[in-house]
Amino acid sequence: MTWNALSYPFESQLNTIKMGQVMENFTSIAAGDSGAPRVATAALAERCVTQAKLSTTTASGSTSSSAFTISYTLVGGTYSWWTASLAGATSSEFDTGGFGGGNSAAGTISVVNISGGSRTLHVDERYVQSSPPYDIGDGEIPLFCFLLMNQNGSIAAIQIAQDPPWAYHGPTNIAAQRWINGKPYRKYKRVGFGGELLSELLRGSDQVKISKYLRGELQIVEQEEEITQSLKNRDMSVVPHPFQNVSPGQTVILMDPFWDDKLTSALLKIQQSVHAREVRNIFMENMLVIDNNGTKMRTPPGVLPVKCKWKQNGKG
Amino acid sequence: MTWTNHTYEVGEVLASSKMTTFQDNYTALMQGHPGAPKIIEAAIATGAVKQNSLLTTTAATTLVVNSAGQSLALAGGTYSWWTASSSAQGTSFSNNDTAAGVLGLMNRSAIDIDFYLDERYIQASPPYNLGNGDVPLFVFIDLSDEGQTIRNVQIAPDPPWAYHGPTDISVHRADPVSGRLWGRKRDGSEVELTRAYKNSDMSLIPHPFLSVNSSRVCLLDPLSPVVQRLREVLDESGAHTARQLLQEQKKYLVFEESTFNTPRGVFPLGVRLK
Repeated sequence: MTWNALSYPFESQLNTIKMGQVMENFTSIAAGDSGAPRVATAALAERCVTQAKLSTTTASGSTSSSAFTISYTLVGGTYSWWTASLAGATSSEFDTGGFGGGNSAAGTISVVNISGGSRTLHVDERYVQSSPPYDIGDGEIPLFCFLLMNQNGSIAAIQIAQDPPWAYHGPTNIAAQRWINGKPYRKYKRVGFGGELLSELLRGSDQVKISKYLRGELQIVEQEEEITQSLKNRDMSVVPHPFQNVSPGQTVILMDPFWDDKLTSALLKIQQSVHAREVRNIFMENMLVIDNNGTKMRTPPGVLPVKCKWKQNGKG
Repeated sequence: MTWTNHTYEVGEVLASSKMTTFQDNYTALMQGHPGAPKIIEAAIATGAVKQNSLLTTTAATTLVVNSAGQSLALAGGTYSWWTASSSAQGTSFSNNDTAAGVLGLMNRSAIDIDFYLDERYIQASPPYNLGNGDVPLFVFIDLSDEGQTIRNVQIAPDPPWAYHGPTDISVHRADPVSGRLWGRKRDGSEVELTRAYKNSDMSLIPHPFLSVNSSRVCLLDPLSPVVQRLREVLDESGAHTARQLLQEQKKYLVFEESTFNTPRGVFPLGVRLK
């Protein structure tokens, strides 16, 4: 359906076709069709954007490490409400759990661990989403379950979320500015036609080129582009997984969501109806069998796709 | 264009003028013209408000924390999502019972520690004008070592007095034609959100570094090409990048005395590329 820019010339006949278009315009306006007027701030009643109107979801994770800095990549990036706690610290470790990590990126939590032993940072989130779903080559992924496995098969770190970590980290902004026929679009600034993203240049280390940009010596071209799956996954190689404390011998795995549809549906239902924290607990309480062998699912670089299934005496 | 209340009498011929104002009502409704019904909660689909539906922006701050304790005003006040990190161990929450939207910090060690804060926050009614034109970006810096080191810095499109202090500058009503905005006073009466009204609390919170003497704090010339470029960086890549760029590119910058309106006690500082 499209917006009908109707006009009514003097003495023209009002027929059923035109009245049908009048009616269609109500649907068109509500659907945000191209050409239809948009909702301006002044049109919104005060306090009408309540919790449920926000496109939010939850995420949950934890990371155990004996490193001096324990860092955690928030799934929601800078759009995340988060709470955190730290397990394992003793009363003599005054600074463990305090701020650290140097000038870490926005949307990242970094705390100090002075113990030399393993301490676990737990993080729960609710965040505002941009444009799910994500497809990295095998179909839309309903739930990303990333785990960092120790050599002995125990879980060192975990993150459960509907969005992958590269969605809201990295230089590519995937928040839609407008929708055309149900497809999201955004204006991107590039260095020259078809060149690198300006945001990529600014986050890079080429100080000479950045200096040229500051002086206005680079040609910056702004172009609207459809936010395709390819664009949504553009930063996958920059932030392939959420774990920043990976030690030698540890393996980053991603649960293959297509291998056991029923399990994936069950976990998604729990995430949606309760909180991602409950899904995290299912993994951490060893209610699932995590296979060592990889599947054929496409994954980010350095991430092994694995099969998971309910334990025979567990749920499911 | 205004909202037109239509009635339809039995036997009435629908005139083209009536149908034209009917068509105009779509726009009047969506722009919130006086008389048009407001869009209420029930009319908004569940989950319809996504990241880009919200009027948000980012801010970034570096604050040197010492054992005396520091208070830092979040640029977004109580509408801020934030994450933080520091250059070394020892920084933690402290400094007694600070105000809402303010972080209280302390560093237990004898050496100064840099505290890094990144925010995303929901905006109320930008822009702001201190008397020299609309300000694209507020860059508050605290220079030490005779101007060689940027000690504290906050980069944000909104000033610290916007969301701190007693004056509420959130929009209660807007005129879609003139663009004029009205807020509400505490007694419930309407007040136009003029540039002057939005700066009502400027003398109360002249800069974000609440424990730092104002005499050391400077505001970079908001209309300088450098600051305007930093605003573009913020829009494109976030305030975190803009702050990093300011500190990394400092060797290419010249700071110099300038004259433009600033909050009381805050030094106006010109900036240009070498």
